[in-house]
Amino acid sequence: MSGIVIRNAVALSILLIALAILPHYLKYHHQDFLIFLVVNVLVVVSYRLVTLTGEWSLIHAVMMGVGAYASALLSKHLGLSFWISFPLAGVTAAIVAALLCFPLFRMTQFYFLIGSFAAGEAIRLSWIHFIKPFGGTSGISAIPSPELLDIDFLEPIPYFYLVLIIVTICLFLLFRIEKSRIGLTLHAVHWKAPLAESIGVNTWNYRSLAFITGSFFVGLAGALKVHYIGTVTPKQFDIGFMVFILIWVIVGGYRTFYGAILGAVVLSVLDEMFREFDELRPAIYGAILIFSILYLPAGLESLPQRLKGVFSRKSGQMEQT
Amino acid sequence: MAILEVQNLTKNFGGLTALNDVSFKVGEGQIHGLIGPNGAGKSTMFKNIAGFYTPTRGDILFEGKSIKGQTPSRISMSGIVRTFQETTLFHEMTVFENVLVGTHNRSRTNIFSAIIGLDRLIQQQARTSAMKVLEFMGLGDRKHQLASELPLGSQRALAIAIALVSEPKLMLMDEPFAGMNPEETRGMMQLTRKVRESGVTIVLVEHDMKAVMGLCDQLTVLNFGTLLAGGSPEQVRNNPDVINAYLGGSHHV
Repeated sequence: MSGIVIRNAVALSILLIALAILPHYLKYHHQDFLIFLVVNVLVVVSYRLVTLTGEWSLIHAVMMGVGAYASALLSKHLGLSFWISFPLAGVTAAIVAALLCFPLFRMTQFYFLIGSFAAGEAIRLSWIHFIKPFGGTSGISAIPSPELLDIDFLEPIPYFYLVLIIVTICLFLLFRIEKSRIGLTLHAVHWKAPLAESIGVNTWNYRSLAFITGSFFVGLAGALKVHYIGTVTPKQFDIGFMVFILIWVIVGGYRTFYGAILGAVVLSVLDEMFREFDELRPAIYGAILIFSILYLPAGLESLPQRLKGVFSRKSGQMEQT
Repeated sequence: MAILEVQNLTKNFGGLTALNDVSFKVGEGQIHGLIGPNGAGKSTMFKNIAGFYTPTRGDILFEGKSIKGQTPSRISMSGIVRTFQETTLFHEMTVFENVLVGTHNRSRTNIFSAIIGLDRLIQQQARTSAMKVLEFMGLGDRKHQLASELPLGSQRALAIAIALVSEPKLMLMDEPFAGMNPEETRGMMQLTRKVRESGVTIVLVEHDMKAVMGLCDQLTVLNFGTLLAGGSPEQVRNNPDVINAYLGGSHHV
């Protein structure tokens, strides 16, 4: 038991150190890519918390936008520093999510899917139509970047470290939640809601809890993203981005904590590698998707297990011959 | 002393009357059988008591207090827990995790103490009592198996373990013997008695007449949503109405 813990801790520290060194060996636009990738990891893992109860929402991208807009407005118009507007971005997303629980969790399954999409579009279209605070389709620009000592957070490398630290903390918290009693109950609500009810679990509360907490973290992710780009627009959080979140989680696998991370990282890196093929890029991406779903239906997370299976079979055959 | 009292309960589904003016009492510490032909309203009665349905008219008293119209989770907190008709388990979890979920009422926590680990002590207690119940139900050596991998008899035992670990006063068992062979039925009967001896009152719906007659202290017979008869197994067995309506005319069981 403790052996595994130590091994995981060592693997994790090596990974973090590697990530910390990595940007120094990358080109400028790859450094940007790395920042967005780390933000997207927080997006998929927070989405995973929402899906733990078995309800797949289509509002997660918009919740990210809620955090992004909140932080942008608070820092630009009220002059709050990033260090205050950033946590408030999460809180705003959580509050909006809490209000949405009342209509949304009266629905389940497909109705929930459609309902969450409709609620998300309602919010997103408000950003376009209420030009006064939200700036319409062109959104809000010139969002101030964080200030701390003399660090220049307009440069990718310092901002990358900021994102890496914050996302690592958030992932740790999300991991704690999933491995706690609450995580167990969320799984129970997913697998057999009536049985969970019969032993005293208020399934409505737990679905809401997962949704609100997941929205809090994705709100933070939204703020992280737009304080780097400097602009927030409704386009960034449309259904297209939501579909990417879904694809990352499905291709990566939703049974383990790291599945979604794997999906986001592998697919994003592949996509980046095919950048030079330009017009072929969407087609290649689609082909990879279809192949991975056909041949790895349980997600990338099942790959180590399957490889192990293949090797043990091979060695078994060799012993026989 | 009646722990559960159903008073003039009526349940309509649109124009259909599933239960019509049914009253009965369940004595504390007893095994009480709810029997009747298919469609008699037994399961509907269960769902009303457990809060999955709301009665149209009438009242349900638990320990003298009305629980009518409360949600299933509220009712379970006041001490009534149900098991389900099929093997309703958390199939994707291990046996131990299944029972651990059952400790919910005592070990739930808020998200902040879960993150910091302030709830460590209650979670430790929950694990201990989950293990105790598993041993009690004879599932101790299977705790790391997935629930879906268990044989039928053990799955039913696990379903009872999940209910039992929530420390109920009253357990509603929905067809605990369905689909079991005679040997499994005997094992299940022993388990049911054991649960009663641990201080839990039991109400069960069952088709297996042999098991019902051998196990129950009192019976309530329903037919087409109305109360047909009540009393000890001996009285019910000899009641001409019951013989006619339920046991099938001249055919004796």
